[in-house]
Amino acid sequence: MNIFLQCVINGVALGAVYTIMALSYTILFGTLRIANFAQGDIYMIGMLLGFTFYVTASMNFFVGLILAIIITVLVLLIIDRLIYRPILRTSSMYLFIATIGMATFLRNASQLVFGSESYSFPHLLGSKPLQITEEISIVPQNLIIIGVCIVLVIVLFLFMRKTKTGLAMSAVSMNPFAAALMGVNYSKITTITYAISAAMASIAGVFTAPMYNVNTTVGASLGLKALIAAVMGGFGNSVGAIVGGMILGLVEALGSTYISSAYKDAFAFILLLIILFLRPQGILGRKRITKV
Amino acid sequence: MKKVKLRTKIIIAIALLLAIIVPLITSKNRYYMDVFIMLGIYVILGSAMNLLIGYTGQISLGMAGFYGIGAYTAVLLVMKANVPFLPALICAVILCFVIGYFLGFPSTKLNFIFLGLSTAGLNTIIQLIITNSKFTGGASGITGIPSVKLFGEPLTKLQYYYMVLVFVLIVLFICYRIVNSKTGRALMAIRGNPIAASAVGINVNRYKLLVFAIVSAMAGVAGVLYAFNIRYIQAEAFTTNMSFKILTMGIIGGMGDLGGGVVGSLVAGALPEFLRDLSKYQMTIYGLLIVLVLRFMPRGIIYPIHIGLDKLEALFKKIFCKNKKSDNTVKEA
Repeated sequence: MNIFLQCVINGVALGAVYTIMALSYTILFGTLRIANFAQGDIYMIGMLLGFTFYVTASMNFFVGLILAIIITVLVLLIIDRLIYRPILRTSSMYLFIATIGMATFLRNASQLVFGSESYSFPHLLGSKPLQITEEISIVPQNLIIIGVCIVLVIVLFLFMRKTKTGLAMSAVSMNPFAAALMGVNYSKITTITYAISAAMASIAGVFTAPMYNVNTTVGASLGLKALIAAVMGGFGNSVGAIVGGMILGLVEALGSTYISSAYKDAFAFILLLIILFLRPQGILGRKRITKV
Repeated sequence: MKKVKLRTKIIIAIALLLAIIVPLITSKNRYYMDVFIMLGIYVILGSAMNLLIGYTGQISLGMAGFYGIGAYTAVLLVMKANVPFLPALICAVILCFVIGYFLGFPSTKLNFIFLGLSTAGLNTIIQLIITNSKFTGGASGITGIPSVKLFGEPLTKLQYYYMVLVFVLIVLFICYRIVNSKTGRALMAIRGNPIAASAVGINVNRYKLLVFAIVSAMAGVAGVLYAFNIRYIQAEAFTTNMSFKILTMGIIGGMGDLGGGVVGSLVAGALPEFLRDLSKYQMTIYGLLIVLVLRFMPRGIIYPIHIGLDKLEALFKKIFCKNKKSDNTVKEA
């Protein structure tokens, strides 16, 4: 029982990481119908920039965090302006392939910039686990991640429901053409959506850095799994992203303890296949009926 | 069957002639022979990818997974069960087809993202199985794969190359038949407008699924040919990086153009040989290539070649057909 509870705690922390990343995919897909495959690499760049500012340049953590966010947002906005937006005019399929190419490019190009070795990022509140009972403990960093996840989710939902920009984003997601006719600046909304998405990915990157080896390959599998979480929950649905992220985190934590830790990376894909068989539209997704 | 233009016939004849003659000249050099054999394998992979993306609007990020399944199945059958080469190859191809069908069944119904994700998943799972299972030799791979024998004699590199060439031609012919047949027309209708296609009675999912399974089987063939040429396989050769490489091959030539698939595979496949000193930057260059081609020439690198050939043809007509035309006008008058 203790092992089980311990797994659940670890799973929730892992799920929080997937949730933040899944939301950063979902906000892009929900609003603009773009699946940015390079999101995991944006996460990785955020993480490495955080490491560079906080550890190498020994800046204040929050200054480093903000700098990392600003730079990653700029990187994604430049990519959007120069590459994604012109390609989107031809076809969304081409854009998806281009994001895959971009992911490959970013991953390998950043290896040339940051080097291929792994670094370790210091834990923010010490690495000594907090004992809840005698056998169940939680690493402070995991608490921070869960906290950051909750705050981000609340801020995002308030933003989407209460602010004018957030409402404009919802309008664009429902019908871009009608939204544009009602005076929503489509180009501006696109920029804001990309910025939010990149900011979330880099926040996740900096806060999860102590839990992983900081190197350029860390984004690849995490990004892919978070995309799977988003798809499982119902792609484009924010609540679905949270549900998908949490389920994936729990399944991975429990599966690697009870089934096999060597095949940890396989669980996400098996789960995806099961869900595609049973509910192709995702757990919370609604069936889309295409009008002619 | 669609009538093939004279120009296309001439180009195919020249390409085939080059593919047959050039290796004869370099047959002494093992390195060149290996490069040519690999290029043949890449053409199979790239054309299959091109067929999938260009004609069905689906995307596979796990071609290296099927490539690996093909390689390991055939090698294990030959080495552990003493099955001859050809039956082992057929088994590997059937297995890839079945797995492709099973994987494609839930994934081809909706958005192309789903097939992309589940195939990427397959690739990861295959990687894990290869490195963790004892049966597949673990991370160190399988060494000492026997050479392919024909009439009791092991094939030389040159003979092996011609065998690969035969498979390349078979794959290209199947691609051609798929594109220029009822299936091909159905696929084109699906690509143009899936809703309209289903309204006129085309079973959209069935065709998408069928092509995906065929493409997976083609990747399996390539895997078998690869394994028995190198005669040493390990997990490294079947990573997601390889899948991205195959994606590059399928795209840069020009999507929805069989010739484009061949040209793209040759260009992307030969690139590392020319950029030997830059092997560190290989994947960076592939990524950049995909992005730049999609951004600046979405019709692929074959498009300028097409235009050049059009101009050349016009020039030929101007020179050689001038007299004939004037004759005709005189008669009509």
